Parts: sequence; C-alpha cells; structure tokens
Amino acid sequence: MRVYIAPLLSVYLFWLYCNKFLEMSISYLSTMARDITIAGTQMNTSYYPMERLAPIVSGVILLCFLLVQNEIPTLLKGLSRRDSNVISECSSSIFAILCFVLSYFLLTSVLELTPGAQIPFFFFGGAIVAGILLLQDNLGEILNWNRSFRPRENVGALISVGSIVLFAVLTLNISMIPAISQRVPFFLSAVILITVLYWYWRISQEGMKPAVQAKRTAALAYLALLPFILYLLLRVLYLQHDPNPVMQNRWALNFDFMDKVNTFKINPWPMEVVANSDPRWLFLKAAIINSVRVTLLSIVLCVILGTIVGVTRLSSNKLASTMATVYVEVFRNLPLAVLLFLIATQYGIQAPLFIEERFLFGGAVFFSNQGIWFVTVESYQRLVMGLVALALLRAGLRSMDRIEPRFIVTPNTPLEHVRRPFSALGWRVEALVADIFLIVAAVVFIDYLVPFVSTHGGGTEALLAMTLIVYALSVTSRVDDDGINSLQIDDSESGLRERFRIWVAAFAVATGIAVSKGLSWPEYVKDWNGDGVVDSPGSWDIAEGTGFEITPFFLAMMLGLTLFTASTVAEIVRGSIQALPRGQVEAAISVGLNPYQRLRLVIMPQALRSMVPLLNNQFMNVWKNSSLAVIVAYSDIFYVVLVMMNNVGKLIPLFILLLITYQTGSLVISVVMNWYNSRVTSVKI
Amino acid sequence: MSSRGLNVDSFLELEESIAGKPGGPWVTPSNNVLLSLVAISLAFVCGLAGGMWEGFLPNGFFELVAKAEAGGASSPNALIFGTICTIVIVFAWWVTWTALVKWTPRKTLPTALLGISTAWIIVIAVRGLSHFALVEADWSVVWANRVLLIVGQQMTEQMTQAPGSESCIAVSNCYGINQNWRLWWILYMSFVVLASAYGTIAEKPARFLVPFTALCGVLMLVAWVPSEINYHSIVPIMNLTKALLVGYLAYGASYYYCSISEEYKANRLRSYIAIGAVVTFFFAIMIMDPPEPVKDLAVLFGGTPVQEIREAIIAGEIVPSTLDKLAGDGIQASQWGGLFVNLIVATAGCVLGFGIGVVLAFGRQSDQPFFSVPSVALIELVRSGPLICWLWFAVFLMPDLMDPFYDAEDIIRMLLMFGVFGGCYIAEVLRGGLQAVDSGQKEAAIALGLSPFQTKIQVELPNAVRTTIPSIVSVFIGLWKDTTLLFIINILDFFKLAKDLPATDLRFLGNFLEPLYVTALVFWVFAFYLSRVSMKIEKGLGLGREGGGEAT
Repeated sequence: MRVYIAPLLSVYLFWLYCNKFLEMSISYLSTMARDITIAGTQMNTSYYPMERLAPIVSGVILLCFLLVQNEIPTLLKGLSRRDSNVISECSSSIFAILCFVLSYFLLTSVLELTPGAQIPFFFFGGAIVAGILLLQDNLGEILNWNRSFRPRENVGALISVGSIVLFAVLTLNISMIPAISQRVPFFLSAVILITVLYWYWRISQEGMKPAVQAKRTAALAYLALLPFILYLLLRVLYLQHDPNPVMQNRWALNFDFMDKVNTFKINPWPMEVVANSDPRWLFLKAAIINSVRVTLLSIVLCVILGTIVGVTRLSSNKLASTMATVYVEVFRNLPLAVLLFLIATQYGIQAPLFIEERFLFGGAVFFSNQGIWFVTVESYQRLVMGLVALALLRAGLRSMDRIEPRFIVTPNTPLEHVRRPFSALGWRVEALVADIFLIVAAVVFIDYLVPFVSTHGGGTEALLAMTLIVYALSVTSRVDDDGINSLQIDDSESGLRERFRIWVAAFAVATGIAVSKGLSWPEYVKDWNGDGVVDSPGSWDIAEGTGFEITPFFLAMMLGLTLFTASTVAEIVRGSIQALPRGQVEAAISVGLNPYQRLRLVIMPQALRSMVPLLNNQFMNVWKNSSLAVIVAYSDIFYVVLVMMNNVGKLIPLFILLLITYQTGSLVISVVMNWYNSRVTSVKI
Repeated sequence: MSSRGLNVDSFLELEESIAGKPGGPWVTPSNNVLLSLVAISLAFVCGLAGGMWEGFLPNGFFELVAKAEAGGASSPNALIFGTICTIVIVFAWWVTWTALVKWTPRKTLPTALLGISTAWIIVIAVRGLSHFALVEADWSVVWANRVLLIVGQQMTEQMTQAPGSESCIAVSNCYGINQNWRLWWILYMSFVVLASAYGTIAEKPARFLVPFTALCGVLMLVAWVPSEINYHSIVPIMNLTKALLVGYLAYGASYYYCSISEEYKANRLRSYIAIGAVVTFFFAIMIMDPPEPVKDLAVLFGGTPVQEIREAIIAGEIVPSTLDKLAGDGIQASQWGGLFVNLIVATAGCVLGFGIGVVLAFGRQSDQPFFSVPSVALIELVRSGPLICWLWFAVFLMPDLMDPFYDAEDIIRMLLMFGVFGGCYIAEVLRGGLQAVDSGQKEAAIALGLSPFQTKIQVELPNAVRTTIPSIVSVFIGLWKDTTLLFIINILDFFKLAKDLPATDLRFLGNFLEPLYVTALVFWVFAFYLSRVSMKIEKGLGLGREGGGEAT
C-alpha cells in the first residue's frame, strides 16, 4: 500500500497543475480573442487581432516542436548543400512548418472560430496533438509512406493520423458536444494526463533505442510542461493589453517615454545633464559613463593592490605575509553592501566640515566631507603630450632591442595585406611604424572620446575612433604573431639599472611637459562677488574649474569596490603562483636571479596563464557590483533606472534596458580579457 | 638545554625573517643573543615610558591610559586600551631596535624596510580601531537591541508584551503571546543536523565538543548578562542547555554509529544527514507559519488555538500546551525579521539553488535541444544582471506573473529568487565538474544497466560535486553575503534593523557607527566559518595543491 502513495499523490498533483494552468490560459486566450467592436471602436481592451495572436501562439508551439524534433541543423546543412534527400529526412519538421502556415491562413481568412471554446481548443489541442506526434515518433515514416503494410507499426500510424483527424473534427464541431465545449480545461487536462501516464510507463520500460528514448523523454517533458509554457506566454500577452492601465503601463513594450524629459537631478561627471530639460536617453548615457568610470578605476586599482597583497602573502618576511593574510581574510568575508555603507558613514563622520578649510600637503589637497579636491595640471593636452612622449620612448627602446627574426611571414592575400599594412617597409621599420601607428590611434581615440563623454553628442566620431584603435591593436598583434617582434632584452643587473635610470629620466621629462602650463590649485572662494566682504559660510565653495574634484560618493564606491575585489584578486594571484611547479622557482634561484628578476622572468609569465580567466570573472563581478552604488547615493545605472521606474512606472522596458546594459558591459570585458588571454597563452608550454 | 637552544634558534630565525639579516660588523654569533636582549629591553623602555616627555616618541602605556580616561572611557576599558596598544607599540619598537642594533639594512634592506613599515602600520591601525572600540564607542546601542536584531520586530514585540515579561505589568496592557518557541525548535533541529554531521567525521571527539561547548557557553553568558534585559534570562539559558544536550546526543550517536559500521553505512548516514538538512530548512519555514492542515491536525489532537484562549493565558489561568501553541496563528512571512531572515534566505539560496543548479547543469549538457536551449538561455539571462536587479524584479514584476496561481509574500519571492540566482551560479560551477567526470564511469554505469536518470544522479553527480566542492562553498558564502541586499527591498533583516537603530531607538540617536561594525562582524564570523569548513573539506578530500615556493 505504501508504495502506491507517492505515485498517486504525484498523479493528483499533476492533475491539479494541468487543470489550474489550462483554466487560466484558456480564460486569457478567450479574453484576448474576443472581438467586441461596437460602432467602430474596440470595447475589449485585451483584444489582439487574430493576425497577431495566431502567429505568436502557433509560433511558440512550432518552436517547441522543432526543438524536440531536433532536425533543424540537418535541414539547414542539407539546404546549404542543396541535397534533395534532406526533404525526406526532415519531413516532420517541414510538415510542422507547413501546418503553422496553414493554421495562420485558416484562422485569419477561412475559419470563424468562436473565442469561447473553439479558439482555445484549436491552439491547445493543436499543441497536445503536436506532443502526441512527437511521442509517437513516426511522423517521418508516415509522410514517406511507400512501404508495405506492417501491422505493428500500423497501430502507431493509426494513432498519429487518427489524433490529427480527431482534433480537426472536434475543433470544427465542438459546439455540438457541450460536454467538451463547456469543460475544455477538464477535457484537455484529461487528454494530457492519459498521454503522459501512458508514455511515462512506456519510457520506463526502456524497450527502445537510446536516441529514441532521449527524444521521447524530451517530448514527454514538452507535453508535461505545456500548460506552464502556454500560461507564461499568454499571461505576458495579456499583461501587455491589461484592462488595468497600471499593469498595461508596466508591461507594454515601447520606449517613447525615453525621449521625454527627465524630472530628477543626478550628479554625473564629466557630462552635464540638466533635469527637466534633457531627455531620459541622455540621463541614461550619463549614468552609464558614471558606472563605467568607477568600474574602470576600481579594476585598475584592485589589480595593483591585489597583486601587491598576493605577492606579499608569499613573502619570506613572516610579518608582511601575516598582515597580507589578515587583509585577505578580513575583506573576503565582508559583505560589500555593509562595507560600502560603513565607508560612507565613517567618511561622513570623520571628514572635516567644508567650512573648516582643511588643506593637506600645503594646499595641494582640500579635504572635506563634501569631497576631496586635488591639485591637477592646468592643461590636459600637455598631460597627453607627456604620456605620448613616454610611449614614444618605449617604442624607441623596443626598436633598439629588436633583432632580425628567424622567419618572416610575408602577406600574400589581400586580407593579410590589410592586416599587416606596413609589411613592405622591412622588419625593423615595420614594427616601429606599427607601434607609432598605435600611439597615433590612441591619441585620436582620446581626442574623440573626450567630447563623447563630456557633451551630449559625439557618438559617431567616437565609434570611428574606436574602430581605428581596434584596427591599430590588431595590426600590432598581427606583427607580434607573425614573429616580427623578436626582442633581445638585457635582463642582467647592470642592464636593469640602466633601464631604470632611462625611465626615471623619461618620467621627469614627461612630468615637466605635463606641468609646463602650470598647475591648477583648488581655490577656496569665500567672497564671490569680489567686494572684499566675506560671504555667509553657506556659500563658500571651491571655484569651478580649479583643482580636480572627487565626490564622497565616488570615493566611497571606489574604495569599497577596490578593497573588496583586491582580496579576491590577491587570492587568485597567490593561487596561480602557488600552482607553479616548485622546481621553477628553485631553478631560478640556482641560476642566480634576484627576487625581482625571478618574479618578472619566471613566475609572472607562467602565473598569468592561469590568472587571466579567473580575473575575467572578477572584473565582471566588479562591473555588476557597481550596481550597489544605490547604497552610497552614487548616480550609476541601477540608481538612475530605479528612480525612473518610480517616476514613470514603465517597468519592463526599463528592466530590459538595465539587463542589456549590464550584459553589454560584461561582454566587452569578456572580449578584452579573451583577447589578452590569447596573447598571454600564445606560447605553448 | 637542547629545547632551550631550539627556542632561542627559532626566535632568532623569526627575528631574521621580520627585521632582516644582521649586517653590522660588530655582530658575531656569540653576541647575537645578547644584542637581541638589548633590543627587547630598549623596546620595553620606549613602549612603557613613551610620551611622558615632550618628545617625538609615540605614547607609552601610562600616557595612553591617561589619555583614554581623559577621553571618557571607563577605567577597565582604558586599561585594556592601554595594554593592547602597548603590546603593539612594544612589538614595533622591537622590530625597529633590532634593525638598528644589528644594522640589518646593510645586508637586507628590503626586508628591514618592509618589516619596520608593516609594524608601524599595524600600530596605527590597532590604535585607531581600539580607540574607537574602547574609548569612543557606546556599544549599548547594539547590546540593548540584541533580541530585536536576532528575531525581528514582530517576535520581539510578542515576547515583551507577553504575560510574565517585565513590560507587561498588568493584565490590561498585555496583548502578546510569546512565539519564540518556534525559533528554539528550529535551533534544536539545526544543532542535531550540525552535530551529527560533525560526528560522521572520524576525528577526536574533543575537537568538536570543546568548541561547541564554548559556543553554547558564550551564548548562555550573553543571555545571562543582566544589563538591558527585556526577557527572563532563565528561559534562554534553559533552552540553550537543552540544545547543548541535544547536540551532544546527536554527536555521540552518529560518532558511535560511524565507528562501529562500515564505510558504506557511514556514507548512507551522511546522505541521510544531508536530506535532514533540507528537511530542517522546510521545517523552519513550515513551523514559522504553519499551513492550515497542520493547524487543523493539532486541533484534532486536542489543542485549542492560543489566540482563542489569549485572555485566559494573560490572566494566568491557562498555560498553553505544545498542541495549543501549534494550533495557534503563526508569524506571517512578511513579519519575519532580524538575523533569522538572513539565515533563512541564505539557506534557501543554498538548498533551492543546489537543486535548481543540478537540474540546469544536466539540462545544459544534454544533447536534446529542448533541454539545453532553455537551460543555456536561463543561465546566461540570470547571470547577466546583478543580484540587486533580480531581487527588484522579484518584488515588482514577478507578482504580476505569479499572483494568479500563487499569491506569495515578499520574503517567499526573495527565497525563490535567491534559489534561482544561486542555482545559475552553481550550474556554471557544476558544468566544469560534470565535464571532468571520467567517461569510463558513465560507460560502466550503462553496462551495468542503469537508466540515464540513475547514471546522472548516482554516478556523475557525486563525482562532479566532489571535485567542485570548494567552488560550490564559495558560491554559498557569496549568497550569504548577498543577503545584506534585502534591505533595499525594505525587508527588515539584520543589516536594515542595525543601521536604522540610531534613527528608530530614541535612546541612542546619533550612534551611527557601532551597529555597522557589529553587523560587519556578525556577517564576517559566519562567512569565515564557512570558508574554514571549505578548507577542511578540501584537505579531507585531498584537493589541496602545494607548490610554487616563495616568490620574494
């Protein structure tokens, strides 16, 4: 007796599930198909014209059928090879597509089915018939019928054909059978239940080939899940035309409201957006720029901090390694939300008030609870020139280190010429020119990126500049892949010392160039109208354009993200270094390399191979964790979209925008890290 | 003599690794120990006497105690503050004096600099933290509200307004019925599962029993301390003793069973304990808000619902029996609060997430597109958004889809969303594990006649879980930490109650930082414990890796 309780209970629960979901789905479908046109206006707000309803519902059923039947790949391959046998191979899928087209024509032009019973019976009955045909698995044979009569298979064929015929007959005459037409959910649930039970028993007998068994299991799952799938589809369709205007506002998919003005203020940088005057798309762009800059800065800082802590954890100085372990263990187990809130509150409590005029380092840093202002260079062009000078030095040094490569791959097809445009110049000049081309492309990119992120437009120019820099990067990678970059670097102690001196001198020169137009000190203005009288403390402020401001929100966000992620990065770095064979480090010591040389020449190149995929994951986590900026009131994507949702109530369009933005960011990070991974693993160990 | 020699040698080795190798020409092996003693005594002098003159030395012990008492700390707090800071300052001075006396910068400059700078950074950090913790902070804001933070507002109110509590003075102003018995039952069951799980590990009994007893002792101490107490301390102490005994019994029973039976029986017990953990989770949800059939069953067995005999209970005439309590109204999910909510949501994420993750992982690697396409779509969709986005979806958009067939409360939808989110991450982790299963295992299973379902559950899944347990536990730790995000949906979990204490508790307006530090500490303790468990499992399964050596 005991052994029957579980099966009976599950049958009962399945019956309840089928009944409930079919009832709800059928009521939605009837409501949506009912055309109540009085005097030319549609009185039924949930009405969908059959031209829209039929393809959507039949399309989903067709999609499920094709997924279970699993013949689409062979069909597409056959079509591309123009193989005529494929028609008979994939006949059931083609039959299904033809049925879909036929049903569209029948429903829109030929038949006038009643929305109460016939239309639901048509769609749901059709889905059930599709399930039965999938389970029978002999549709292909029936359609290619040219063999002699065989009794055993004939029963199966009879059932398949019979179910189609029965379905057609019932649909057209259902109003004559009140037992069914008044209890459509009951009837359909009974059909589903009987089919599922019979086939569950058949499949558990395991008397068929494994491939057929797998397909029939998928078909059984389709039939069992059918009420739920159709419920979800019809519920979403119903919500988009819900009689309740709030619901309809939430679920209807149109983005017109994004062109209207936004009604709340945010604090973005560097792009300025004005509330009640700029459209929502621009606010979204400003919010995306906010998120991107905190993510990029946190990624850079957490890699630096994480590497330092990870390497320190492996140091022989017990004190330093213990401290690094303490840091990692503390920050890895803290929740990020609590950490962010703690940093924001602690900073708000401990930082001096604005009117207290706390200048640090002799006026270079103004420190207050409204933000930190740094001294900065007066002209950013000079800063870019300094960086360009450093980059040119690096290109020059690399060119001096280059020796003739052992093999030179010359391009022959036009595509390869595009990928290596400077190949005619010879190996030494080509690599140098490729490096300089990259520097020029970077400068152009920065030149077009700045207006893009600071003003409302500039999208197309920035896109062109980005394609240019991607092309330049691909050119340099190609030069490297084709073996032109054969470098002979002096890694001895004297060589390292000389390089160090060259770079120190170069940094001094670059700094000189960068500050050649002067520095911009944060200027604390107490007297705004210049009349010699100090204004009220409420209006004291740092003059616009002097110094470089970091808001407390940005600071809290960046500190929290960096400290939190650096602990995980430190663990990744430590794990990658510890995964190296011990013999590598011992051999490096026995060859006489000092610790820095060991790290740079032996450990890091090998550790990077295992680190990069894990770092990819962590960077995507930083991007997604930046959504916690709502805790510190930093205007990132999630915060801005959340307030917009509260304002306009268009939840689904905004939610879709949110998901698309985060997914795009993750994809970009993934692409960049995969490219870097391919560069790091290009040498096979 | 040899053991003393060893001690001196290991001390010198430690000193060398922290402060660097001796480089001065006056250092010989014979006066090495003497110079160390000189450095230690100089450090003590500087540490104790620092700050007493107007010098540049950091404050020593006496100065620090005086400053703390001037800053408003009570005398024992000031002494503790002074002691802690002095220990760290003496240590830093010892490193500095050793480096100077033995002139280590000449031989190993990086080590010496690293050691000295680290030591003084530790001094700054420890001094700042202990000054905050002992001198500035007023921890009574958290101490007075400890019951609220653990069980939430509704349960605290029911407890403090129930007959017998001190705020329920006369019969006329009592209106509550103490519902804390539900949480105690959950605690007993959790201890049973925990203790029997530890009992299946064949370690010395003391390694579990001592920390377990210490934990219960600390909890009893916390429950007993008579300051700011709004309950009868005898009740939690009695219940904690019961929980302790139940834990001992469970541990003893499972330890004994595992020691006398064979490996396969012990494995079977482990799987039963895992099932028991899942049952405890569903039991916890059920006991907090019993469904109607359970309440009707209790009435059938002779109980009367407590809300009907409430006046009689308040007047002291009837003491409600267990059946009466079971038949009474439960606490609705929207009124759950405190640490309990965090624990239940995290457990839901882990339990439901593991189930959903297994289904999605097997679906993803299936060769039937009807299973693989939706699985891949769902996993990529859920992983594309941050958790906060999906929690928001669960609060505002999921009801539109779900209400026709299941009108659920916010917290139940949070449980489901955490389950789905955790499931997608676990599916990703299991994907790698399933790919790594030896194909010979699967072929052998087919040859033995196992059905595809049996192969998956009994052959592939255990193999995959074994290799990916560290990653799965790290997903669990991530889910536990992410329960702090519930405050954005205005669910009153531990974090939200703690951070709103300065605003809601009128006795402590303005103490913003103390509740936040306590929240951080509580979450950190649980996460740290889970990561230790993960490391132990890794070691037990032999998955740890060694190698690489020292990098610097």
